[in-house]
Amino acid sequence: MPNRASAIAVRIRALEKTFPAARGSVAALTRINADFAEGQFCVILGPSGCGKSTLIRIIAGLERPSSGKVLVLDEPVSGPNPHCGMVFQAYTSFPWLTVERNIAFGLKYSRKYAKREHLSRAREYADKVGLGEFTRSYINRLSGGMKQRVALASALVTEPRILLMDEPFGALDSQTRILMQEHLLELWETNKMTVLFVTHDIEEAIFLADRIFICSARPARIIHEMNVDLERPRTTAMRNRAEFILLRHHIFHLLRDETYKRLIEERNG
Amino acid sequence: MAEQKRKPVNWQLVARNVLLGAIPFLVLAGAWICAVHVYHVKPIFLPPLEKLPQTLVEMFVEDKIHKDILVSVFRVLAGFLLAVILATPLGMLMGYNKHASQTFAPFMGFIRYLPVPVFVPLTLLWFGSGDPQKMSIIFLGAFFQLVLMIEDAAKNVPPEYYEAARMLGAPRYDLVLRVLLPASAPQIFDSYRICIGWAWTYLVVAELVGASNGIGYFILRAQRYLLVPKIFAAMLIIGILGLLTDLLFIMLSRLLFRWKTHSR
Ligand SMILES: Nc1ncnc2c1ncn2[C@@H]1O[C@H](COP(=O)(O)OP(=O)(O)OP(=O)(O)O)[C@@H](O)[C@H]1O
Ligand SMILES: [Mg+2]
Repeated sequence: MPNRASAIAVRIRALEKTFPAARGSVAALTRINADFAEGQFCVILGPSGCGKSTLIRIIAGLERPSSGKVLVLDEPVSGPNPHCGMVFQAYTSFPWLTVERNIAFGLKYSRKYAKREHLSRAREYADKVGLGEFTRSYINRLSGGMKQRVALASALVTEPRILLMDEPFGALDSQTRILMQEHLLELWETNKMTVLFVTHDIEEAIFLADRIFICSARPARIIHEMNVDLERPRTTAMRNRAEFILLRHHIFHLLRDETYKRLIEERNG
Repeated sequence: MAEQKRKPVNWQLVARNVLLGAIPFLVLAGAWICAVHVYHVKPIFLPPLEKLPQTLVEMFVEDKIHKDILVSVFRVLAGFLLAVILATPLGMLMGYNKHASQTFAPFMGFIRYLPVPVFVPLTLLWFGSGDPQKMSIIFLGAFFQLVLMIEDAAKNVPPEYYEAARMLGAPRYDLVLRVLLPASAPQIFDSYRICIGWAWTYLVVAELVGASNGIGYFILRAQRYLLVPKIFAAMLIIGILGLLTDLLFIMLSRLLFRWKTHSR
């Protein structure tokens, strides 16, 4: 493979998205320009309700832009794309399938794997996310963190080049969330795929990211981009480092202004 | 923890449930006995409960009621199965595709509100008074209800599942078989269970008019000759058949949808 360190995995130009609403329309995204570099862990950080899900859903091909350009691996997006795996905000694993069958679900559509390998490959990935003992369990039996591990393994099993994650740990308690962040980074270190990770949690963003894209309040624009220069592998101890805390404060103030704007806007109807 | 072990049957719990379920029956039986022996209600209105077993034996030995039962069960099953076979794909299509729903839903809603007995005279004209007519009554009664219930089941599938499947690479036609069907199956199965109960009531409606056999016809004849104990015994048989059907459905659904019962 050629050195693609500088290649752009996802390129967004002049993206706009408005939804029709009961009265007029709702602008969710406006004037979005961004380049997400291949092999980078990119975090999209923004206040809740700003349009983060809309942005990542457009990249995923689940939603159409109102105008503008979105290129994934230099191709315009026209629908869900086999190069993109996705982990959603809500638990979306299929309750009628066992853990291993859930993970194997997408293998059918990827010609890389022979049918008889599907289950063994699914088990291998269950092992990778720490669910080796639960391959035959149904989803409803699992805790929230375990459900997201299944979703993660299902997305990774076909080895997509880009992993899209929409607040995947948003519903978890803070302890589990921290464990999942560390686990995700461990997995990522092994193949360094491109990750686009959406969150509203500043600490999560700093801990995970190579580069953070900060969104304004709705309609979302990207108001700041910054690199996180903490070395890898990241450790929990880093959360207490001066640079980490300074960065957190810096971003906190940027976001607070945006959140205020939104509150005022809501109050004015 | 690796394998999901079958839970051992908790017999104490089963016994308790059976006992609880028996209470209303016992209360009813008590009231019945009271009415006959304390308030001396005439046997022509309410025959003594104690006579019921003897009447039942008579019905099987002399009247060969099992033949009527078989005839009725066959009619219900045939009419109901036909309704299931046709209603399931149509209902799922309507639940999955907005245009299909917009096309069929008003028509289904219209027919659904026609009471089933309304169809009796027409079907008698069209099909005569044999089995096809009885089945058509059950079919008409069940089909339109089923379609709308199955549509509802299909609509209840969270759209997130379709999106997750599409992100995993599933083409649209696979969504039907790999998401819509398994996700809505438990609720569809439930609608079968509810609907087959109605099918039984339609059957008796059909057999009360222009029939020459079947349980409904048996009741009609018993009434004509004032064989009141036999009316009660036949009602008991219908009730027991209903109870057994329900149990069968519940057990089947547990077996088929272990993932549902296996939640925490
Ligand atoms: N399909 C839709 N139709 C109409 N409006 C929509 C639709 N999807 C999103 N919106 C609106 O767009 C705005 C942005 O929503 P979005 O879900 O992208 O925000 P978010 O940043 O992901 O929020 P959260 O933090 O709650 O996840 C919201 O005001 C929402 O009501
Ligand atoms: Mg969101």
